[in-house]
Amino acid sequence: MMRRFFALFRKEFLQIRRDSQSLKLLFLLPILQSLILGYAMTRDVRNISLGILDLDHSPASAALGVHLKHHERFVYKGNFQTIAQMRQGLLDGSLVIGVMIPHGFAQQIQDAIPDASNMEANEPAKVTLLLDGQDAASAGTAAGYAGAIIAQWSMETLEQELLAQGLDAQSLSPLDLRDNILYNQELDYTWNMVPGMLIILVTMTGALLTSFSLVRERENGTLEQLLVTPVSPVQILLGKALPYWILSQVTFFLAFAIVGWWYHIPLYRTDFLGLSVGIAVYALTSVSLGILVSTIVSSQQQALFLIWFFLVFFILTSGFMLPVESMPLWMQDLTQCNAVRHFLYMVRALVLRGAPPLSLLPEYLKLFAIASVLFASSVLMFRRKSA
Amino acid sequence: MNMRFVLAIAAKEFRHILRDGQTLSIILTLPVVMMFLFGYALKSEIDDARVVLIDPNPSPASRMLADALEASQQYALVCIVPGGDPSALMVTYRARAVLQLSPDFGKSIEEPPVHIGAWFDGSDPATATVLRNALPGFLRNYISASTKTKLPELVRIDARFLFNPEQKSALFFVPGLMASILAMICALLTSVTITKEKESGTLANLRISRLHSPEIITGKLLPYFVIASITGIFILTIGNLVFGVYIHGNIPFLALATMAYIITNLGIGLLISTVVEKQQHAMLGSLGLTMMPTILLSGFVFPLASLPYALQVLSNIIPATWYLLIVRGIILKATTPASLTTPILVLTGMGILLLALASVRFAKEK
Repeated sequence: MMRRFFALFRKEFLQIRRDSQSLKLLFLLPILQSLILGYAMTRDVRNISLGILDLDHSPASAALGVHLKHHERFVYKGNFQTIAQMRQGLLDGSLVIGVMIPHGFAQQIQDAIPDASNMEANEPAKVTLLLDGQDAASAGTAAGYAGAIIAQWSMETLEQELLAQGLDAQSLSPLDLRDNILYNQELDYTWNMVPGMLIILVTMTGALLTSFSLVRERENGTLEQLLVTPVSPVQILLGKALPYWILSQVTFFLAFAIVGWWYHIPLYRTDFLGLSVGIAVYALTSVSLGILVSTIVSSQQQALFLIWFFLVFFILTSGFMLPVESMPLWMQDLTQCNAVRHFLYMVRALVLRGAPPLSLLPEYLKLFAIASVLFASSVLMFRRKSA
Repeated sequence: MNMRFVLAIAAKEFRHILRDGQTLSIILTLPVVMMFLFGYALKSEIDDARVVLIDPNPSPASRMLADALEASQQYALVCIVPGGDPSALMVTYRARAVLQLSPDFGKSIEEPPVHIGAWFDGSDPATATVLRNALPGFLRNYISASTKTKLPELVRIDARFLFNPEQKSALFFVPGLMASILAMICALLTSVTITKEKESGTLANLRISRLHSPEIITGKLLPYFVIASITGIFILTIGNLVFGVYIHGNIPFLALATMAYIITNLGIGLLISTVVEKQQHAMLGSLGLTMMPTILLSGFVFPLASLPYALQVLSNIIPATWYLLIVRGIILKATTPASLTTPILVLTGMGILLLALASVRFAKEK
């Protein structure tokens, strides 16, 4: 009985090896893309085009302008004379942020500085930022940077003025906050994105190749021939699915090593036993998805579209780019059924935070539950369809 | 070119498409599902970020700070512990941030300054950046209010977001989905339809008929041009009716640009189909060549100006980059067609070049 199964198993491997173009398209293209596109996956906002409209022409406004112009985040696009000119710059896309310093800025700053007799502050001076809001998230980040630079400048100015009065600004501050960043001090975005890209790769291999190989045999009529042999349907299914289950795990570790090395991700924290168990269970879900899809479609094209549809949905709701906590509660509950979500969380925790696998027990259990349900239903569906 | 032959091929292709109801329904539901996901389920703002508070010496004052954290929308206080290693706490409680109060917190709130340590989970840089900007402000305001001491403020900042004053995310994802969905549908469908005929040998039948290759190509591409146009109209209509995205600019110009963009992507699909022999390869190739680059390198998700220089140069050869300039310009900024001359010329040029290249290759394959 095992001999029949192994014969099928070997046949499938031979078939995979023969179709070298598919392998190239499935592995080389995505891995090469990850090596280049990883650099693109940064929500960090840099090289922000900045324009200044200085209506005050005072030493104070000029000093603030210098701070903004020379900051590494900004690319200075020049001084503007009128609001209309600045709005035109924002309209044609040559500016992302315009800083407007009003008339009387220097005077208002002087008024806002308290003296020893009166610590109650006056109304502060007002600086207006005009932002290109077409990409609201990036514009918000740009506004944050400009705000931080202006706040720092005004803090320095205040310290100097208070020092001249013999006061220490530090002692006036009610809060002393020390902040630290753990695990990824440089806040390198690729570290966070790479696990997600690898998961897409594995899902593609597992689900697409499995369903392609089953649908193709059905299209060619060779599945019928296999079914009339003494081999049982479940053996056929396992013989066809197992090679892809193994292949997708090998792909994962291979791509993981290449991409991790390329982006200098510290892999030494990872518990590899925990990761191996995780990928074994996850690969089972993606292979089961492939089998399930193959039982409801009638052509390879349909299989591709259906898997692609599921994948887009699973990836978007997995926390790959946008955090799960920010989703509405009903959506968070719904994503409990999303294997990508649990596996992604697991990979990020194991690799980036060096979490011990036991702390991820809920993820393992959920992933295992999803895999069992999917695999069981895919076997049932296959048997029903082959009967 | 004989129009009758073209239409005959187009009619045959239409019948193929209509017969495969499953593919058609996926093509039409995908944009809808994605729009509703982006519109209702996915947000880039951070809500309920999990925070752990280390409070070695609980006092009424520290309890009040905990309540304030709990009451805010942005933070969710997971638990208060008397001590521990921040990194271990972060792993155990799955926290995004850990705050440590000093043992004399209760007293220091009477006699500032108050000392607080904060640790952020850098493994998710997006959340860490947001929290690192927001949490100090939250704490500073809270402490200032309860100690009634405050540093005088010299400058107040008033940020105004032009073209999108309410910062609606729909204005961001509708143009982006237009660009990425159209690209994927066009390239994928075209490359598959031709390789399918190659696989079954019917392309050879078509070739020995009286038809010329321009007629075959136009006839095969026409139905997909129509489907892609319908999808585009579909996205804009839902965007308008459900998400309130109004087209402020010149609609005929937008239509023209969209046609040029569709043709460019049909050209990519056609070119792929002349290179590969099998459906499976055509699908993998067109998905790989269009999906990731149009989403990542066009400025849809990640701003182009932030990319490394080499990738900025590379982004110029991606049609979606130019199309996105036009769609965003017309929809959000009411940009005049005159100032969009460069993008439309580049897009049209790419379309003509790709289609010409693909046609020559297709004709040569005879």
